[in-house]
Amino acid sequence: MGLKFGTAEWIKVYIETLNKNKDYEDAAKTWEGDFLFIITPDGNLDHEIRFYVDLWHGKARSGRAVGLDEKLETAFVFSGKWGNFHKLIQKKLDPIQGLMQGKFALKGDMGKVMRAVRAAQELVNTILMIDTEVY
Amino acid sequence: MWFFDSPKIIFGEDSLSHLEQIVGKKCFIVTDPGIIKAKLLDILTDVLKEAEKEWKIFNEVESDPKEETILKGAKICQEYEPDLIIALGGGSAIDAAKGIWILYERPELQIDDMHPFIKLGLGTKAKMIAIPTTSGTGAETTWAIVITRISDGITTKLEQANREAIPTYAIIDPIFTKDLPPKLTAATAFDALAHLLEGLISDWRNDFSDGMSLKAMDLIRTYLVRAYNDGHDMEAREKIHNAATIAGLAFGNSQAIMGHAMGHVLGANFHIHHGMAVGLFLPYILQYCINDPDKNEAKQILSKFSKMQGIALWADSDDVAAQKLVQEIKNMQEQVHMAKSLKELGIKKEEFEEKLELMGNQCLESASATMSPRSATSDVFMRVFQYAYDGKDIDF
Ligand SMILES: [Fe+2]
Repeated sequence: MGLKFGTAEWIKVYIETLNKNKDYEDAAKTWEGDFLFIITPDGNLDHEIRFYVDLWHGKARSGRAVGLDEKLETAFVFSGKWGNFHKLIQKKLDPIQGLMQGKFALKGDMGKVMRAVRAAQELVNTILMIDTEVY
Repeated sequence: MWFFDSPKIIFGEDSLSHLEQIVGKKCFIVTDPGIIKAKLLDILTDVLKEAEKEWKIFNEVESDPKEETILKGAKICQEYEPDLIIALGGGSAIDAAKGIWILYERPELQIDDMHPFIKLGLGTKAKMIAIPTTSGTGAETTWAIVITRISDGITTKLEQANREAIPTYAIIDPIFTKDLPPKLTAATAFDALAHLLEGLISDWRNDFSDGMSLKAMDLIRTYLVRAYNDGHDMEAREKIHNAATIAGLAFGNSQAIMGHAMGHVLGANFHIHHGMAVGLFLPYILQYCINDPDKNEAKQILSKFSKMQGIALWADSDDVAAQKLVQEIKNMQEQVHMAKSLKELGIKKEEFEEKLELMGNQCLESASATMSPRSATSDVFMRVFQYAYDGKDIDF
């Protein structure tokens, strides 16, 4: 059975998988910046999910679930409704197109993100490598 | 959900005269010294005079405009306070004008703020008019702004973009292209060819952009050699000029892929003309996408396209039809004397090898690199560069 998306166990496996993904390592060689992902309730998801990933030079240095009341300063915040995240992890929605359609929001240095689109794609591809249970 | 963006397009013989109808008195003209030398600016200012408009000229745009040039132009533009910003030139002048337009409307922004996710609110102070003088870049139709940044001795072509940065009007008047030398006619047309074919197989391709690719290909195949052999064949000039804009609408609304990533990187490192670079890479990147061992997507699209163009037979297999398309492009390269390898371009082997790893990595930073139907790592980019250096067919 798969791991439920966004849970502590899922994040642990995600980080392990990401650190084995050579294509991510190649694409994110020079990347420096941590991310907070916020998935807001929608469809079958009845609660907000937040998780943190510290990305550094092609690897994830750490990652964990984040409580709703926790204050966290990160270089980037990527947020959106579960329905859109669901499409994203099925590769039915491109992350950049999703941002341009207003289906996701991103805070942080956008210029930097635009030079790391390939790395962003590999972050999504990594999810596809995990047996993920959805909501 | 997706979008199809386009400027208002005025095209064909005498389309420049429509300027009289466009509201706005003060015009800020963004151009380059070559345009003035070729007396193309005079054609524009004659029409402006007739229309009783005022103008100020910023003629310092170099090929592959640097960010400093855009900042300088923006400052002059802010002081002049125009109603219209008119770009006259190739992709460089048009891209520089887009950057100047943004900074005129939003002086608090930086070059790095010109990304797709910001709401700019352009058009309140000025409208932008793009008048291309070459038939290729499609910059008059797209929301991309290519800006050169040099920092720590490394040259990068920033691929800035925002959907609002599309010129308000594009005037596609063939009068500006009649004295384009054959070499430039070929190189710029190959830029258009790369746009329509890369856009056709891009991950963001769509029904609207596909239609544009079909027509643009037809026009280029029919008229390029005529325009190349006789620059004053005005029918051919007009058709090729239209083709470039239509190809611009194709890739502007679907995105370029790895060939443009490689072209920008090669251009930044060796100062090779953009059209020459992307035109040269075209057969190689198509072969790489066709050879995808995991999916047939690109092969099937290119096969159908090849059949619809009458290049392949409807009875041909996808393999044969896609290969015939690649061969057709190589034939066209020969007909208009385009270089087919980096070696032929005169790039020195030693310098090429020295920069190869950097170039492979730089490709990954290009958004275009991610739009290909078959993805590529930095090692793949390096291999494609190497094959293109020697002129070898991609066999992986
Ligand atoms: Fe181009």
